[in-house]
Amino acid sequence: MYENIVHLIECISLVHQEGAIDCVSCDAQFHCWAEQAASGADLRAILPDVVAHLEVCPECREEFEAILCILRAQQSGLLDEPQESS
Amino acid sequence: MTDRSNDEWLADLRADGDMQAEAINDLKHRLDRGIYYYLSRERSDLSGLSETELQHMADDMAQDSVLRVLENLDSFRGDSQFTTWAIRIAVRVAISDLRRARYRDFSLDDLTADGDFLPASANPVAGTKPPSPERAAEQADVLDKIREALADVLTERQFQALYAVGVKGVSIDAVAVELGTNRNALYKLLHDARRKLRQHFEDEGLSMNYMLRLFQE
Ligand SMILES: [Zn+2]
Repeated sequence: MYENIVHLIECISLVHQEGAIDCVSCDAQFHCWAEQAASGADLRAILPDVVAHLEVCPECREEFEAILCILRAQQSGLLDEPQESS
Repeated sequence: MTDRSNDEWLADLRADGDMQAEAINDLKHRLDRGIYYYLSRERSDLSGLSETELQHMADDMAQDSVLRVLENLDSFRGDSQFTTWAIRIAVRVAISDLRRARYRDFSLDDLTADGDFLPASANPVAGTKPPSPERAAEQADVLDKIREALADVLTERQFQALYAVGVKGVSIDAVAVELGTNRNALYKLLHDARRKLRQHFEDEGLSMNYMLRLFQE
């Protein structure tokens, strides 16, 4: 019965530090960071601000994970042309 | 499909005639495969769609993405593979489309029209174990404080945004459209709203952890 309140309190708890990176700066850099992450870099170590933003911003997180998922599929050859057999 | 360097991509996409047509076609094909992979593997919310429907969706998104890439070619700074940069644009196009579709009928008025979203009192729902009288009194007291804070601390706009995003889980993009603003401005507005509320509760001696514990089963 307190579901709404719990959601509200959880949402308020998500405040992160002042001056942290915002959505627009994130979006503008995602291609660079996704490439770094896809090649095995530890983003938490090298870009803590970005990771902090992704943790509180589901929209940016969704987009970043999508880019990463496509890059990884590409690296694994999953997006290559199927052999023409027909 | 030809593998191109970043410079080759830029030159071919800016070229005329067949050279450009071929590059556009290659780019579209590449983005199409990436988007289709994402839609079919990562989006459980689309699992009801057939392979053909997903393919159509991916085709349309790839088409729009290519146009967006061409419009923005001058802003590519060469700080990644060209195709990664194009994938970033395509993901933005695809996800924005999906969000728009999901919240097509969403209106802030509907959300807040259902009146007071906080329970009027701390009466337990039938079938659940009633809290102890002390706990019930404590919950009622904190509920009052939350209600006051929402009314006193937040602007109407901040309340609407926080309610839609924080309580109802509506996407920031959809709420931004509804409020006639953009994602970044809304993100800042939400950030201010959260910070003000949190400060207010802390001034009242109510920590987030305490309140969460109080209202969780
Ligand atoms: Zn964001």
